[in-house]
Amino acid sequence: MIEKSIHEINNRIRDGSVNVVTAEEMVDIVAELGVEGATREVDVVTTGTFGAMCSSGVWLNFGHSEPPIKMSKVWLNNVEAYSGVAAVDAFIGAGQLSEAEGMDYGGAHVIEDLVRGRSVDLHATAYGTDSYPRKVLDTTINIYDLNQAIMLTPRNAYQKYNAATNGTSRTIYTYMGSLLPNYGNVTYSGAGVLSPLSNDPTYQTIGTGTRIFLGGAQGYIVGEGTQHSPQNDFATLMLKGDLKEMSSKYIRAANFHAYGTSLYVGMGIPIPVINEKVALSTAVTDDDIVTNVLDYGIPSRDRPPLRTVTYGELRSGMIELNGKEVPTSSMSSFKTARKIAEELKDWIQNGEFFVTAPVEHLPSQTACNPMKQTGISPLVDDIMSKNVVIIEQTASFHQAAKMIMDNAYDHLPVVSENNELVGIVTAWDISKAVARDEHNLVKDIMTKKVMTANPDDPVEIAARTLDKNSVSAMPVINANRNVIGIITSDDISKLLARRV
Amino acid sequence: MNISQAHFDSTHGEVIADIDKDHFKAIKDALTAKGAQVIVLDYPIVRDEEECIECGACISVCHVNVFSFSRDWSLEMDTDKCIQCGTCIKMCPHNALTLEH
Ligand code: SF4
Ligand code: SF4
Repeated sequence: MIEKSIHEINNRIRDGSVNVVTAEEMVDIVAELGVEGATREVDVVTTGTFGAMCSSGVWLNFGHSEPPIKMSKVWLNNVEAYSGVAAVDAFIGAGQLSEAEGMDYGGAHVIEDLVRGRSVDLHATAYGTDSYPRKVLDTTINIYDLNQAIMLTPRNAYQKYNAATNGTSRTIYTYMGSLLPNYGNVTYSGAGVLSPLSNDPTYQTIGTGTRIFLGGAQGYIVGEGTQHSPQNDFATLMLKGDLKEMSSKYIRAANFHAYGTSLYVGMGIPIPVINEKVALSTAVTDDDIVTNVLDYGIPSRDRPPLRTVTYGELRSGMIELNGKEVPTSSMSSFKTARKIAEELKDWIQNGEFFVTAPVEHLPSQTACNPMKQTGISPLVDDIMSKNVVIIEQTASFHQAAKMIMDNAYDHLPVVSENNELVGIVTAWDISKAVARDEHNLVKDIMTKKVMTANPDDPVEIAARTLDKNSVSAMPVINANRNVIGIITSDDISKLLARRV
Repeated sequence: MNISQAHFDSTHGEVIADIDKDHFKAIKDALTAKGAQVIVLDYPIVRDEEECIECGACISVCHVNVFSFSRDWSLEMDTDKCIQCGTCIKMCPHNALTLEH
């Protein structure tokens, strides 16, 4: 059994004899020399990843103003930062949206602007105290004006991530990008063979205090990240680094259409090859890393996996899904991940970066549990109106008009002979028919593409469907497409009014 | 004429088609006479290389395979194939893609 100490490896870095390879190169080395030979030969294996890490942010300290202010609310370029701490500290989070520009600009863009040395408008308000009399402040700052700009990310560097697809009939927009209808594409994230945590999945060398590559500078692992879930290989890290030293090559703002903003963070971990077990784990390949393909069309926390897939398959550009070849695409940049692993390798070879032993190992037993919800969320069945008037598709348009008049309903679900929902007629469809002088059957004037709800859907899901499609009512149907009720935006507003 | 995309609803419709140069005028006149509007799509997708991080997110949403990875995981484009549908613009997380008119 070969054992190497961190001290020994650092001495080799100091005298220039260190042998550093990337995790990609290590695969071939282990195949060629065997685990023992590779352990003897290689001192450090470098990794890298560059992907969207929404759970990122930066602590800023602005220095004190004259007269001083204890900021209670802070905005940077109209993006709110959290300042519920001491007078002039604030945390800008990547996902916070601009109050002026919405999804086009967010905390991630403020962070990128700071990294690029651009000026940022600072606006703050306060309630005023004896020691901090000022109530409003407006100024312009850049990163050099700040005392500190410390990146502190609650959750980065996911070991791997679920691949995403969409089984609904419409394109959906997610933090995994645009997902085309009917399983039209699959997106994934993570660097596979170069993924930092996948190269040391039992945390033999990674833990609190580990020195890493973060945003183009040296940073540190604080410890486990939020939602750290080691038992199913979804480990995460909390990271810290000095934003003032980082580069816009590795810190980039992103906009996910109809989802929001996020920050692409470049990070890499050097893995000191202290024994054969570590050497073996750094020989991991894309084909060894398995993840699930989930249907993001299901608006629930629990999405049953459609299939398992390896990063090797995902990175081939096509995977099979329900017997069909589906194109895949990566949301993270493998090319940049490679650049990071190479740059970290250069630093170590040039004696600019020394490896560390963790002060504390990462927990390996924690789980990511769902939220405890005390309020029971109401279901569509609880608030839909059950006495719904329906009409047959072969009825005349006059009958439909009369039914709407008599019942003061705006929406009439239309059914076929065997009582299945086939469309919907609204007062508007009838007016259109009148205006055009088309006195046809219901089936000729109805809207065929009708949104529906299921009785056991949470009301929030129905509300989102109404909202997204700008309709004010939806038939509620059972598994046989029989209409069992109707839910309207009025029902939902009433429910919300009761809750307040 | 090779129809690559068609969208219709109750009020209007849109067809994207490949038309031979020699037949273009005849087809255009025929369509215009029927009240259709004909727009020539010859400004393919443009990528801002400064903004692009070469993630490849755009690859799976383009039906005509404009985007692909080269061997070293750089993004390659075959813009001749672009039918200007605009799908990739919403996909790109870095606002690197645009269509000019
Ligand atoms: S999605 Fe945008 S950033 Fe990613 S490769 Fe395509 S153009 Fe570049
Ligand atoms: S505009 Fe459409 S056809 Fe052109 S590259 Fe983008 S997705 Fe492909």
